[in-house]
Amino acid sequence: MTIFIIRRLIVTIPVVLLVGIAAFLLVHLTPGDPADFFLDPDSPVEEIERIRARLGLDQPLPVQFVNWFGGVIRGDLGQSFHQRRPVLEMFGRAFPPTIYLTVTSLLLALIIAIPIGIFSAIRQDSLLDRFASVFVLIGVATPNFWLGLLLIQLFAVQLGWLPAQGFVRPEADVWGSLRSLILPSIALGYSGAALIARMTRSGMLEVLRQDFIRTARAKGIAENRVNYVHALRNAFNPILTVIGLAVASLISGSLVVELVFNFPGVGRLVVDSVFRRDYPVIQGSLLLIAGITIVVNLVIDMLYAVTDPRIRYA
Amino acid sequence: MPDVPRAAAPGPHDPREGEREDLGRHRKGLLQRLREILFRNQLTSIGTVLTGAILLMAVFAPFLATHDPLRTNVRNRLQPPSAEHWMGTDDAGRDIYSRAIFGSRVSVRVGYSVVVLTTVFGLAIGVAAGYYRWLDGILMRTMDALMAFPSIFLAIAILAALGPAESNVIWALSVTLTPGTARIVRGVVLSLKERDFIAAARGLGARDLRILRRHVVPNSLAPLIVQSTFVLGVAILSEAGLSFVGAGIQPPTPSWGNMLADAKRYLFVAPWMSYFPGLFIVFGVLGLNLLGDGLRDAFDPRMRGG
Repeated sequence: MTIFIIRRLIVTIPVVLLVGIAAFLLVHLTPGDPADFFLDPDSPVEEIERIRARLGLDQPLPVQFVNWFGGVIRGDLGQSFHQRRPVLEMFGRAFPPTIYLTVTSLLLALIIAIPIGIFSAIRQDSLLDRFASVFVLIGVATPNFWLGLLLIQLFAVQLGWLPAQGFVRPEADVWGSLRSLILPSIALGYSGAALIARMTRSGMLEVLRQDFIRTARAKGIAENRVNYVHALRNAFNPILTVIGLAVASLISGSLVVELVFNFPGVGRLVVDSVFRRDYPVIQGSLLLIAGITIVVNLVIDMLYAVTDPRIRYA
Repeated sequence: MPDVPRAAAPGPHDPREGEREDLGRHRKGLLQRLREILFRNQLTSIGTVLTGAILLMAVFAPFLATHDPLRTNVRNRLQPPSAEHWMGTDDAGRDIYSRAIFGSRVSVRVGYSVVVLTTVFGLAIGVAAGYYRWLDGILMRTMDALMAFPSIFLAIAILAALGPAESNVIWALSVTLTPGTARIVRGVVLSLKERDFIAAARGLGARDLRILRRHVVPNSLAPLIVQSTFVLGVAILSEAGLSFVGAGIQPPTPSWGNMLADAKRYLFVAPWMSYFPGLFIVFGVLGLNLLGDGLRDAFDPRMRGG
């Protein structure tokens, strides 16, 4: 297991490096000079040069990359052009709302989707299975931001039960924070739930068709025990894979949902930085978000070994 | 933005099965076969009809629209649905029905262009990675790196670099969606490489290019077509998301996404502005997913009911 973790980490290194290069290149292909944002367009050339030198923009690209990535490795993501604060600090401030939203959405999705997936596999083609497949089909096709708009209209505007906008930090008010998370979590969690339910169902169905299930039934083991012990235990891995996929898609989706509900999260930060051409912030956020996705997948890979002892990584 | 659901475990066809299908094709004719696949059951038929409807809507938009989608009329702003304006009017007094009809053009253009580009790149990268061991590492690690970015973040960053234009939306989405297709093609190629008929072809002196063209590409076709329907759906959803955020299609050109961005600002006074563009997206994507499920079942009988 330790060897596997080390090996897996080594394989991750080139991916992280490529992610860094990609994040760096993307941002530096941007037309337009960030120095423009500090000055009038008709400032003297020397002034522009001075600013460019201060921001390190006068150096060749590879040098800029090495400077930036060297800093990244030391935990320094640079300073925001716009606010002159460390990128890490800005990201750290924007991250909690995003992580709360992502986690509550994931939990909501899991609570709803896994039972639906399991039952619809066990009772294939039953009425419940049909309802579940409609739930899944609509969930996969519904844009989370549109669902968000509809939820705001119903629960905030019409009924007035829940706040329409904004995020309340849990340190300030736990109950208020939960209330502010309900609608966004439903908007974001539904598509995730649809994805997880679909994959849970097909993973479970796959297992139910295998020989050892038939053997278990033939031995006379109670149907419930076959379904919930023998089959479910073996359906964990495909479910884990889906959770990994769902986390990535939830992080991605949170960006748009945050804008619907005016959350001061990473989505807001990235979109604002794009409009301000705040290179270090875009780069840093992209890198951190990609890093988080990589770590989540790494953890999931390791959980495979826990849930399925047949897998031996050595 | 949901990530592309991978066309679950697409395997290459049994070549013997292909021969039988070939025989069938001669007897039945291509059209009939196509009809059997596209209307193989109720759900698939709904998918085919919805997908066709969106296509027709895009092609015949000028005939279907009742008003000029760009014509503003301030005295008529924020009107609820009526006989004159079936879906109401927006904040500039424009007819929402006509805008939604024309909005399908953006979705169709972006969606189908992205499918073509991801298929070309995915095929090239997947074949190269699966076929040549020395390329596999670098290509697939690059794909992994691209996939490590949550797709909408990556697309927004690319659009930030290129500027918000329809063609750039197409490029941005093609870059984010290619890795999925490349992985599928690579999987097909890897499993084909071990098969006897490839060894036989090689033994008979066939060059790489011929093997690629005659064996690898045809065998990748079924999973690629299935993947295309899902890529199309995800591309439409993503374009809407990008336009909603303001990084995609810019007003006044109507797209379902930027219509919803307008709707957000008038949520409290003109709720109808948000209903219809969203419904169009749902129906369009729902149709593609139903069609994709049907095609997957038709091409790969092992996946049935899965």
